[in-house]
Amino acid sequence: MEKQPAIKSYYFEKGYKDLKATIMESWELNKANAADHFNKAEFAEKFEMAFHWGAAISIYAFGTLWFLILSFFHVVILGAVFLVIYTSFSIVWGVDKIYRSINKIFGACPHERCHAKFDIPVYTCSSCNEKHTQLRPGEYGILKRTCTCGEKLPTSFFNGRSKLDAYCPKCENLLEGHTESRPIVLPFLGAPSVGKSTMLYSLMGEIHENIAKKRKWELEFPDKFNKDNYELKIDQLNRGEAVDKTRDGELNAVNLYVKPEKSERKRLLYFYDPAGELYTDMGAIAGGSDDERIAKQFFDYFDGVFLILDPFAIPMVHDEYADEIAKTDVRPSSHNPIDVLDRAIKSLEKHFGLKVDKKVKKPLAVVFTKVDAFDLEDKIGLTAAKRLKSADENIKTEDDAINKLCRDFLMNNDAGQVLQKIDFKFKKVRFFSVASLGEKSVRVSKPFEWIISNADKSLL
Amino acid sequence: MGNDGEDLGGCIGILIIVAIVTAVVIAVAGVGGVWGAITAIGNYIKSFRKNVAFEKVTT
Repeated sequence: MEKQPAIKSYYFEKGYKDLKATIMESWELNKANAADHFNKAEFAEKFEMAFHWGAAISIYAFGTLWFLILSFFHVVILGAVFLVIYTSFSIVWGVDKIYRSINKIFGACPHERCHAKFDIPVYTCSSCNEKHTQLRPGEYGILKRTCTCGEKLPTSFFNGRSKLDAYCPKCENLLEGHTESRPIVLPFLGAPSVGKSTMLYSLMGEIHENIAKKRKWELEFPDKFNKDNYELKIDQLNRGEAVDKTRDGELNAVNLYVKPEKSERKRLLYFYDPAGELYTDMGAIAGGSDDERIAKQFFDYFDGVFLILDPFAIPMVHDEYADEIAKTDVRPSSHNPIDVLDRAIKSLEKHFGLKVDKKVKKPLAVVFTKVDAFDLEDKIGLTAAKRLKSADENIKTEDDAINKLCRDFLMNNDAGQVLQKIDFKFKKVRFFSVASLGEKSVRVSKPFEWIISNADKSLL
Repeated sequence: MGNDGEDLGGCIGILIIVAIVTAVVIAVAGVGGVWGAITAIGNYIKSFRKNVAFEKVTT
């Protein structure tokens, strides 16, 4: 373990030193006593001389025997105590480790341009603010550790460690809110202007207004920044305004704690909303830019992906609706979905270590946005889904119908390549169509609930 | 007859001497053993109390 600003536990260092010092000093005292008697014998009269000689010899003979017996018992008793201590430490350390592993608890930094993944954060002493990089059961203490300032700090998740101030080990920014929970990381991928941010905040609104009530979740923002940001954006949406475009190169993380009714363990929903330019700049991918490095961070630990597609970015669809688009404020993305998908897959292969012929096992929700525009609801929305369901007995639910309709939409509009690439690269895929309109959103919860059912069923 | 009595007397005498010497040796060894034990135990306790600080033995 890296050196910590704390006092090592007696049983991991001082105990051994004290044992050694006790034995050595005891032996030296015996030798000194015997030597003293020999010196006195030199200048004594007959009987006194005999006494001192006898005393010196008995100290060497019988004294050494008793020294060995006492040392042996000291070592055995101390060893037994140490064994109990080490067993306790191993149990506490093991329980902490196993609990974190089973519940997939780790840290994910929400700060812009970091997003590092780590096992435990850097905790600071509540008294002197000294940084403890490895605050866990170990040689500095089993349940508690003594900081160099004298303050006792908890070392495990079950005795209050998470209540201390915590910092990201990489960027050293403060991590506000609960730092030991299970993050559920869900990036939103897509080209610029497809509607990622609008979809994200509409979903947040849906979670607050409907999903949390239906699922009996308790919600909590980890800090004031997330709460204020959400309130600002949802107000914009509810007034019919567009959410501010994510700035180029910026990776936004929107966080929300969720606590299901029947569980004590919170989940941290991590929605990543990167700027679409991240997936349109080939130079960024090839050159391993800062943005790519940061994207790689969250690709290391995502639980599912939202791939947002603008139907009007498909050339054939754009041509079909060109006149209507010109007359309204629908702003299609100018990037072909095939190109964006290619780049996202290349990024996964390059930075996630994914082999070209291997599939991503995490669920992919492909989401068509803007279906409230024109007659899209009649092509890939609920109207069309009801029609298909009544006509085809193999289609059991309206969600299954929308999934098929979206797939057919791509095929029929000369974008079969997108479908092919998606099915080739991802093992679990489902298509959705949504309209992100703040409190008037349509079906924005569907892709989220599907991904969660694959990522953490206990949440539903 | 006179020689038998002298022989018996001599044996008893030797036995008494041996017994006395043995008793003295045991007594000296016993005293020496106790002396050595007390010294060694006393030194070990002194050393233990000096080197082991109980207030630092915390988990």
